[in-house]
Amino acid sequence: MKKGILLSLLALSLLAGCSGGGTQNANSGSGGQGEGSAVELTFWRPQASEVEDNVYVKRIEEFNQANKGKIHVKMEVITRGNSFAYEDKINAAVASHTLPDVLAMDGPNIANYAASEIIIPLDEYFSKEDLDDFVPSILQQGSYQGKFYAPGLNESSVVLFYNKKIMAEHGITPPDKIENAWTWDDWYDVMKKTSKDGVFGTNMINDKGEWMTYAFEQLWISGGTDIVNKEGTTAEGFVNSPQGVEAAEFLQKLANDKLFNIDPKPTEFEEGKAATKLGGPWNIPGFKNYPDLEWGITYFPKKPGGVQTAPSGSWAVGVSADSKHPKEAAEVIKWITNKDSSTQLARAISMPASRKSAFESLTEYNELPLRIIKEQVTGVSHARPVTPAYPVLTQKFAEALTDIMVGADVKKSLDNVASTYDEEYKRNFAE
Amino acid sequence: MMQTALHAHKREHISTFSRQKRRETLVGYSFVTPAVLLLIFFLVLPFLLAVVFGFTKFNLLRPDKIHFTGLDNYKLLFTDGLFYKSLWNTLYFTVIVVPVQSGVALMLALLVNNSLKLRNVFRIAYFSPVVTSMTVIAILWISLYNPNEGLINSALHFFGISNQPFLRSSSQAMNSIIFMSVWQAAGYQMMIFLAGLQGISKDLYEASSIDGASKLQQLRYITIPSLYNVTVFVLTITTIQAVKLFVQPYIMTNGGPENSTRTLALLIYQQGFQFRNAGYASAISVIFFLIVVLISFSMKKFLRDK
Repeated sequence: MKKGILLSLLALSLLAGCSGGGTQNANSGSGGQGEGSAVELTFWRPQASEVEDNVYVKRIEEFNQANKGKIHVKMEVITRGNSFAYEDKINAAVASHTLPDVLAMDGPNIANYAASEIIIPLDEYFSKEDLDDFVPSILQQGSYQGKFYAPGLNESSVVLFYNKKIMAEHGITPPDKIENAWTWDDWYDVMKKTSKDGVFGTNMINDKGEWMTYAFEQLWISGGTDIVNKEGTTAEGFVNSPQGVEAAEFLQKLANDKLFNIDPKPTEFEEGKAATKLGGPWNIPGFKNYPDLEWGITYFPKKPGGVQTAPSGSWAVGVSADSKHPKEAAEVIKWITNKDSSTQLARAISMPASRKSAFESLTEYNELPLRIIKEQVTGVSHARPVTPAYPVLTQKFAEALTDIMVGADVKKSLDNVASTYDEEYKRNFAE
Repeated sequence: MMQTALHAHKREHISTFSRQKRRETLVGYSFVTPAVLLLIFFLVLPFLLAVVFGFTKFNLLRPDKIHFTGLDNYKLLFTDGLFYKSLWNTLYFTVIVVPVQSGVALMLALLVNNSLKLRNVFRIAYFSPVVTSMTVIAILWISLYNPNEGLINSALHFFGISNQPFLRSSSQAMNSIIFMSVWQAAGYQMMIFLAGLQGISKDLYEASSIDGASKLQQLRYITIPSLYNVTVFVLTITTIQAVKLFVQPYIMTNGGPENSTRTLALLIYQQGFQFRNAGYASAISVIFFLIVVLISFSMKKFLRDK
């Protein structure tokens, strides 16, 4: 069963890989055959979990049904894997002008794509009140230099999951009020107590790419700094500030004490091999497959005396500059991010919704454990830096953190991130 | 009279001969044309473009806004510590892998060439990693090398050796990649050596054994010299494969820790595709090309003069 799905997804992604050129023809031609005079649009998005994929398939089918004879969308699912394979495909398509009409992108890439003019502003297609319905972090991540480019499909957050049985064994009660949230020191003590007999104190490595920036930039923010300045023009004195060094040293301490596995199995926490887990709402559906697991949620740990914060950001959809039908493409985007889509997606993958109106009808977010997520999303979350040089920033930052976790010199690694980013920005983006 | 007829005959013979030859040439060219066109479009042209782009600032996301910057990319390159580090890593990998892998391959070939009962089993065992995709193998070896519960560490544990970080240590990562690369690819060279071994005439061995040569002497004076051409071929292709090292560090370490596994191919990929600096990546490619040419020529010279 599982293998069948995997194979069909593989086949799908292969098809997606092959049909880049072909779909372009369908757009430029008169679209004569079959669909009448319907405008043919293509939509690229990376492969997600099965439930998430199903929501998009259903919503696109419904869109095609509702717009029969006018617009027909063909969705192509592209494998993303552990790294930047999806982004590579976009780069290649830009060079050959074979981008799809509608394009999903990770939140922090929006600024880069907007600065490079490969996506178009959508302000004229959204009414003011429609835009105001999105949660603030979605508008923040989707805007570049005062224009709105890409609404998010949902929101996200990183929380600390915990194994209730292990906590009970050690007499630990994780906080359920935001003012009592664990500090790094509290979290460290919990890890130290629970880490033994093949059980790790925490599981906090999802991948060594975007995850590193997404999750751990917050340690900098909690210390009152960030990895770049507000304008995104320099990292010097930010990523390698004293507070930054302190944050990185905390990560190194966890690694030195072997409180987490740097190459974990993805299901370490689910199998009871980790007492806590830094993860997100996307993990929750998978917990069902482990009936022995009793899990709870608490807040993203903050620096002692520091700011309470949590990651935010999500995949968003935009219209490519290559599209010959921007008006119709904007219709697709409005549909796939409207209240119904937002609610259905939030239900299916238990991710917080991107729209306030959808959020209000999701009553499960008023109680534990999901209440924690809602409190973080609406109250304390911080988006990743909005900068056109983001690809260099995230790559170098992730590399530095990985190095630090295996024992590299903290200050030297962070200085290297700062100088590489600043040179890159000066060379390619400074006015 | 007779003389002229003979001449005429000869002339006619020559002309049909040359006509036939011309037709053969034409057929030959028409057979070669598709391959030549493909080579031009996918090899020569891209390389020429890389040379041109090397002198430009070219953001991959803004293909319409290329502009010439002269030697800027090259100036940057020669002051870029990461370039030198990557070059060093690439050369280190090559210098270790080429002799080790070829040596292992030769030994495996000698092993599976004898009349061992299970030789077909061995042949399949040694060759199967070669036909498996490197991506799959790299992912497999990540878990074998896992610093905590990896199979290799469990095995070491059995002998009382403490857990090794392998891919997570800047002093071990490249060697770990070398070890698995040799394991993966030696089977391929083994097959080539095996073909070479089977091409050596049995008479030589019979004659030498009548003369009283030992097995070791036969290896030293018959097998090794007879394999000279095969060895040159194996060394050349292994070198070319080695300098292109990309998949293993891309998947297993992403160039880390501390850039200890960053190779030139990986650097080009990251600059070009992840950071979208296609101009700078092109400049690195051109230098990379020159280095490969230099290595190939010096190898050819060295191996021929021997």
